[in-house]
This record gives sequence, C-alpha cells and structure tokens, in this order.
Amino acid sequence: MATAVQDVLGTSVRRTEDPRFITGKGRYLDDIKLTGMAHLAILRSPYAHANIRSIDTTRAKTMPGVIAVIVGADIPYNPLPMAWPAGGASGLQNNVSTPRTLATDSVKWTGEGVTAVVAETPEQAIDALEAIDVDYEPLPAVVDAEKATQPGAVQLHENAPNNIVFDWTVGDKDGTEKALAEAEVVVRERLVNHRLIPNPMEVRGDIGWYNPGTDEYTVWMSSQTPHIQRLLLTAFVTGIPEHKVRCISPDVGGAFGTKIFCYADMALVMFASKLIGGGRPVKWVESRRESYGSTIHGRDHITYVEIAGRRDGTVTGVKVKTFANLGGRLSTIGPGIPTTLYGRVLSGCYKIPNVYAEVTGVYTNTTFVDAYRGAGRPEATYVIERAMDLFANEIGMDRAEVRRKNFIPKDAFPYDNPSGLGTAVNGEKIYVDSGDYEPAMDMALKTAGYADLEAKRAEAKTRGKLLGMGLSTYIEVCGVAPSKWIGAVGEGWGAAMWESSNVKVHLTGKVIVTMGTQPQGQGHETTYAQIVSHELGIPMDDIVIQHSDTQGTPFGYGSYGSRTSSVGSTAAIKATDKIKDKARRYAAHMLEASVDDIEVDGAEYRVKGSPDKKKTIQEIAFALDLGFSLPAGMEPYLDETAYYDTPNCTWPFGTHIAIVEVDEETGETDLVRYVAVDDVGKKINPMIVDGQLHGGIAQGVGQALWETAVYDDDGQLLSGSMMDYALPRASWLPSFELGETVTPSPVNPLGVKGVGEAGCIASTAAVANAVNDALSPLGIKHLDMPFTAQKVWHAIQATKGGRA
Amino acid sequence: MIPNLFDYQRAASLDEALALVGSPGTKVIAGGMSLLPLMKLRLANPERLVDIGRLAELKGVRELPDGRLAIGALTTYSELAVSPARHYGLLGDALPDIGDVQVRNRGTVGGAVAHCDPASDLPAVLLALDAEIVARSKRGENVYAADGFFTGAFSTALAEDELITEIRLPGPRDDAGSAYASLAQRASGYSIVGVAAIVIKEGGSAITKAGIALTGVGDAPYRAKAVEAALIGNEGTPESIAEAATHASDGVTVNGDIHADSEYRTAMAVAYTRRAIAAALGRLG
Repeated sequence: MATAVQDVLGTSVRRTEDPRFITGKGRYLDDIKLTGMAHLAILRSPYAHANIRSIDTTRAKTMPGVIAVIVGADIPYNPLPMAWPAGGASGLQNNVSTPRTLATDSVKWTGEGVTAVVAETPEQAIDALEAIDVDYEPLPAVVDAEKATQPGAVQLHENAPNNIVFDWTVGDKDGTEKALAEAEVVVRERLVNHRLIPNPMEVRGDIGWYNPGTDEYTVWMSSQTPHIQRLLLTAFVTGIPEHKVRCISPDVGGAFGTKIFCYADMALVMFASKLIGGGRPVKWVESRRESYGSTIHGRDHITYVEIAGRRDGTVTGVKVKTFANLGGRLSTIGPGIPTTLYGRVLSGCYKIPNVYAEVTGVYTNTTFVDAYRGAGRPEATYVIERAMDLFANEIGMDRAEVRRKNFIPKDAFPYDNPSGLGTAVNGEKIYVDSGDYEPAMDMALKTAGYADLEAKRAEAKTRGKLLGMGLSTYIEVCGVAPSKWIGAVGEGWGAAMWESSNVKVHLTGKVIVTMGTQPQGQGHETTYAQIVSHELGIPMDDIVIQHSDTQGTPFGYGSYGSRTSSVGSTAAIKATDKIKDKARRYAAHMLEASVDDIEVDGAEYRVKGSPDKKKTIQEIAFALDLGFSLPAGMEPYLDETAYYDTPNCTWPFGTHIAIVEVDEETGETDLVRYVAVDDVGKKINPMIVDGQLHGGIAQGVGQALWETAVYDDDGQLLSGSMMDYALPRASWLPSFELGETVTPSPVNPLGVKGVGEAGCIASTAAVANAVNDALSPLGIKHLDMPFTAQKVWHAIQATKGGRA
Repeated sequence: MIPNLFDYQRAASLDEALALVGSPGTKVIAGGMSLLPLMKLRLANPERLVDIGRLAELKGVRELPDGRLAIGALTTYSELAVSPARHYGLLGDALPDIGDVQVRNRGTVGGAVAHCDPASDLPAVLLALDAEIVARSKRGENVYAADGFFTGAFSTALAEDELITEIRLPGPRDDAGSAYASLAQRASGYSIVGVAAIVIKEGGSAITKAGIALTGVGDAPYRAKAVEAALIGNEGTPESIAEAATHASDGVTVNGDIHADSEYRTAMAVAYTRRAIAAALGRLG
C-alpha cells in the first residue's frame, strides 16, 4: 500500500521560492550577464514641458567606451500602443498621445527619454550622457488635472483640446440629478486622491538581444506580462513579426502593476542591439531616481462627490465628477483605470438606486499614470467610503449603522450594480455575484471595540491625543476578467483575459506545469504546485511550476488585477482534469477494464470492486509516455493544455477598521490599531493570503499617512527620491488584527476570489476616515490625505483661529 | 546612481592623510554615509578621495584623566552607542534614531561633524554639551569650541587642510539632566526639528546652567541662547519651561520645505524645545 500523499491544498506550506529569494540566489533582470553585453543609458528631459530644438551628440560619440548614441529620429518604430481606450467600443472619443521610443520633437514631463548612449560599461554610458547637448525651448507647464482643463491652460497636445483625453460617463444622469433634487439631505465635498509613486523593490530593466544568425530577438524584461509585451512590441511598435521575438521575464522583485505595461525602453534595447551589431545584447536598468520619471505613477484624482439621502440613513443617490490625471502621454492602459475599474464600482457594497459619474481624463506635465495596486478600486473605495461618513455625520447617525442600512442584502445576489458593469458581447449582463456584508462588519466592529469609541477618545484626550476610528466596508472587483466583457463591451481593451496552463507528467512521474501567468513575488510556484498536487495526488516535491518565457509557456495575459488565483488556477485545474481523464482511459487499458469501472483516488486508478487491481499515476505516466502499448486512437504522453475563460469577475469584500491617534500639538498621526475582516473566498495557502493582506494594508496606510508625489508648478518632482518620498516602514505600523468570513466564489471550482489588492483597496479609506473622525471634535469636516504632521497641524490651527 | 570618475587614495597614517588633505578637488572620506550618496547623484564630484577610514589612531572612546570623554573621529554611531558616552541622556536618545542600522554601523562622529548637514542630530548634541572639536593639520593641533564651529549649511570653521581627530565631551555630572527630542522627516529620517537639552542645578531647585541646541531649523545647528537665558534661575515649572521654549528660534531664519513650511517648523521648534527641556529636567529628578 503506497503512502498517501498529504493533501496540501488549503494549508500554509512554506513557499518553495523563498530559499532562493531570501538567500540572495534569485535571478533578477540585473543579475543576467551575457557574453558581449553592452550597456545603455537614457538622457531624460530636465524640463516638464519643452520643445527640442536640436540634439548634438558629437562630443558624446567620442567619449571612452561609447559604441553608439541614439536619438529619436534614428528609430523607425511607431509610438507605443494605448490598449485600453475609455469606453472603447462605445465609440467615445479618446485623444491619444503615447510616448515614442525616444522623444523626437517635444518632451511632456521631467524624465521623458530624449537620447540614449550604448557603451561598453554602464559607467561609461552614464558619463557620456553628460556630453550630449540638447537645445530645449522650455515651455510653461501644468501639473494639476483640474486646472489643466480650464480655459487658458497650457496645452500639451494638438489633438487634445483643453488637455482632455476623454470625457467618460456612466450611470443614469437624469435619475441621479432627480434623486439629488428631491433628497432630504445632500452632502457635497471635494476629495483629492493624491499621486503615488509605486516603488517595487526591484526597479525595471530590459536586455535586448538581436541574433543576426537567426534574425530573431530575445528580450529579457522585468515584466508582469511577457506574452502581452511580445504582442505589443511586434504588432504595434516595431513591426518585427511576432514569431521572431521571444520575451523572458526572470525573477521579478515586486511590481504592484508598474510592470504590466509596454515601455519605450523595451523597444529601445531591441533597436540598440541590432544597431550595434555583432550579436551583442544591450542592457538597460533604471536607477531608483530615474524610475520616478520612467515608470508609471498611480492614483491622482480630483473628485467632486455629492451624496443624497433621507434622514433615516437611506442613501438615494451618488453623483461624482472626477478629473483623472494621466500624465504627459498615455501609458498602456491608463484610460481604462479611472473608467471601468473606478466609475463602474463607485457604489461599493451599497444598494444605491441612482449613481452617475463623469470622469475626465487629463494630460498634464507629469509622469504617466496607470494601474497601481488596486487600480481604480482604491480610488472608488475612497470616494464612496468618505461619502458615507460625510453623509452619516451630516444626519447625525452612526457610521456603521448607515452602512448596515445601505448594504446590498445577501439575498439580492446576483446584483445588478446601478453604475452598470456593462453588458458582454453576447448580451449577458455582468453581475456582482455574491456577498454577505454584515457578518464581516459585525466581526470587525466587535474586534475593534467600536462600541467603546467615545471612552477611548476620552482616555486619549488625557494624553494630548485625538483618537479616531475609521471604517472601510469595501468591495473589490477582481479575478479579471471574462473576455466577453473586458474585450468587447467597450470597457475593454480589445483583447481577452483568459488564462492558460500546460501540465506534463513525465516518464519518471515528475510533473512540469507551465503557466501563462507571471509571478512578481506572490508565491505562484508554491500555490500552483499545491493545486496540482491535490488534483493528481503527486507530492509537491515532484512538481515544478514554470512561467515567464514566451518560448515554452502557453500564451497568457499575465498577473495583475488579483486574477491569478481565480483564473490561472482554474486553467491549471482544467489541464489536470484532462490529464486525469487520459490517465483513467489508459488505466482501463492497462488493467483490462472498462473506463467506466476505473475510479480515481488521489494518485491511484482502481478497478471498482477489485481494490488490488490498480495503477498509480506514476505507473500510468511511465507506460503511456513510452507508448509501447496504446489503445486504438490514443496518443502517447500525459501532456495536456487548457485555456480557461472565467464566466465572471470575483467579488471579495470585508470591513477594515483603523484606529489612529493625532498629537494635537504637533499634528503627528500614528496608526495604533488595525482590524481587517476580509472575505476572499477559499484559500489555497492561508499564510500567503495573510502576507498579501499585510502588504496591501501597509501600502494603503502608506498612501493615507505618508506617501505623496509632489510637483512644483514648473513640473519638477520635488519628492524625487526616497529622501523625500516616504514609504511605510514596519516599525511605523501596529500588528494587524486579521479576521475572516468565507463565502466561496461561485465562479471557479476552488471558490477563490483573489487577494493581491484587497488590503490596499480597503485600508486607505479606513485610515482617512479614522483621521477625519479624530479631527471631527474640532469641527473639521474633511481633510484630504496624506495626513502628514504639517498638514494636520495646519488644519488644527485653522480651527483655533490661526492661519491654515 | 554612478559617480563620476575619481582618484582614490587610502591613507595609511594620520601624517599621510594630513599630507593629502587640502589640495584642490580633494575630499576626505570616512564612513561615506553622506558623501557617497551625494557623489552617486553627482551632486558632489571630487577629483580625489582620501580614505581615512582605517586610521586606528582615530578610533575609540577614552576617558581623559580630568573625567572628560574623548571620542575618536572615526568612532561610528554604533560604537558610540555602546561606549561610556551612552550615559549622557541626550546621546542615548539621539543615537538610535540616526540614519538606519547600516548608517549607524558605517557613519562616523567626525564625519557627521565635518559634513554639517543642517538637519544632522549630532552637531546639536555637541553644541548643547559644550563639546570641543579637535582638529589636526600639518601646521599642528587646533581646538574648536562647538559653539561657533557650525557656520552654515554644510559649512564649518574647519580649515581646508584640517582633519577632525577627536571630539571631547565634558565629564558626566550628577547635577545635570539631558535629553534629545526630535520630529523626524518621514522619508529621510533627518530631523525637521531636533532639540538637544542639558540643564544643570548646582544645588537648590533653580536651573543654574542650560545648554539648548537645535538642528533642522535654520541654516546650521545653533545654540538657542535666549532659551538658555530664560531657563537660568528658573524652577522648571511647566509654565516657565513653556515660556522659555517660545524663544527656540529667536533670531533664526527658519527653513521651509515640502515637509515642513517655516510656520510649522517654527511651532515645532517651540514644542520640541519644551519637550526636550521637560525630559531633561525629568531625568534630573
């Protein structure tokens, strides 16, 4: 009797990646050193807005070690693609300007690439940048999205009057305005969701290699989406045929969305490698400081929200006008973030009958903005959760009770969100499929001691501290996405979002799984192996998960939007289903039984009623892979591929509660407790889920309290390094108190929902509500994030008749 | 993040180092915790670095016969934190918050003093303590009082050809209490306001001597002499401390930046001065 393989699905097995990551044996982009490799550096614009009169590279070409100096006019490539227009198929006008590989006529933000040097060493390349003479005609700049749309503002692009990329709307305008006009109470506020700089631990970089022998390119890139990049770089940018390019993403040290996109540097290293000849690869790696202008930023919304309702706490309408800053040119899916992923989920977990939103996408002289962890949903959560508090405070009703009164009831699912998630290409509506919001809120309220808030407030006051408690009852759309919806409704990017998996059980019983998704530190090599081990009854140690190389893995859309565990995992299960089916048919052949009589129990394939007549999956794989004896019509080898398109997104939810203390004298604000009750469905590995929640919460708290990108009026980034851009540190945070409810997702066989963004989506609003609650006894109704000591102090002074 | 080309020379002895410093384009490097980041950003572009980091004669903390403490210029923050100097309350407060672990393990006392970052913590501590800064050159030894040494942002009284060899602190005394209180800029960790306070009661209940110094507030760390004057003869009641603290930035042009405008920084200078004095008095018992 074989020892049963321990079922590891749903257990906190340690991450198989970690030994290599935490002992410095990971292999990241900059660890790759290829024979003959040259190094590329990019001269970036010091101006936020300027015309380029001329570029003189004469001196640079004579600098030691310099192989080539490249200007934009040398490069025959197209501008980068913009793959997700707002309102896509609905025909909404999008005024598109995207970056070129290097700027040719003008620059639109500090950090836009202008000239490149290829040299023998990185040091020589950087030295030579200083010998390039660019004659700029500086132009006035605009950095504020709302101001940029006003008459007389500086204009960035001829095809975008008033700097407007698009004017997108969603929901019922007339109905919402009627609800506002007839409401007992309407509360209005201007909310700023400030700009963030993502800062994954590993910066971006690429290596381009043109092989003159085969006329093929290989591009190593620190990317979340190597398959998509191959498609975009070939079909849209370079014109090189798709089959002539291979993209490889090595170990990726964090991304948070920044590495989803097609960047100019990817095309540049391809061009440079062919240009210098000799089959020499060319590497570019950004510095941290450079990254602040060469990799996307996040958030940056100015929003006017109006929330209407009755004095009994019923919310009857929400109207939103948002200016979304998209930067100097558009990143790959910039317009999709503040529209589909924001406007369509603005009503959160509430049954609000009338919702209407207008979103204006705007060009400004700033780094481009695109998806950053949460991507639209933290911005939406911030708006609706602040609005619920403002409404509750206005009518003098408890904030938790107002939420309870307006929750979508648990028997109302599937729920048709009034802002409209849209209709898929086949006419199907997309619904919020499941949810049960009250238990999570009640658990969080109890854990946080919400009932004792006023006593806590009084005690803190004796210490000179203003205590506040903030709720965020969030909902998240993740597990993106049904292709019929994302690709076709006009909310989409004209592409699909299924996932893929190939499973091979080799001769020796060892399993190689290749995935179309792409990890950035989440632990996919562990979680997928847990799933495959569970499905096939093969020990995790005998399973390896491969990914990240367009050669050898099936096409996949990559990892972002909390989609890997729900969409990617299901593709893996579909592939193992095919493996099991074939193994069962072959077991019948080996055991001389009918297929219908073969029962599968983990790794064992047995004849019903004859427990001794059995074969293990390893024995089956050995015989089938050799193929000496095959039943008629059966091909050798246990090798199956599956593509899986999810029927719906997934809908995690929960309640987060932050408790903060504000020093009334200095404005210093500390997070003292944090309670999070999340419903992310079933869990493949609870430890990894907790890790994702912890990181996400910290990141969202970082936005609320410390992180902020600050530009001056000339478009210079004042928070241009980690000396001025404050990332959260572990010592600034309390231990998080996590709880859970489990409502399995009905859309996938595992019942998982995805958790990569949940913490970040919920926590910013929870902290913002807590700080505003702390300041409310002083008569402060709303203060924008980030709650830096200086800002909070000024707000407090203003209430005391001082100057704000 | 790659510096310009530069020559590098490691000094094998203090005399060799003194022969090299002072020539044009030369910078001295000890721990490199301030200089190297500036060089990587190409904000500092020295032609030659003279590395004094291995000069054993400049390391370590020793007690002088008169009870004073002599801190070798190459003593790191971490070494200082486990030396007898840790018994000075204000040093015990300040050291754990300087930089991060790596900076504290590499950064040197002499380097911080010579660099004179306007928001650096250690100069304020030395000012409050009435420390002496000992410098050497080929011309001989020169002893500077801390008060007057820090002349501006990244600027000191040190001559071009001089190296700091030692910092001398007055001996510990039972009738003194000291503390350091600071409001950190969250990103850099540097002080928006840092206040070093030492109060002495030579018999009786009134303060007879006070050393109050601030960093981060103005161009250079400075002694808040109006605060000190207001404390002399003061019994140390909360009201009287608060009144004295209102003079924290008298006569100083207060800095403003994205983290703290001058109005906020002025208010924090007052608040943290009061807090530092109160903590110092609390230690006096």
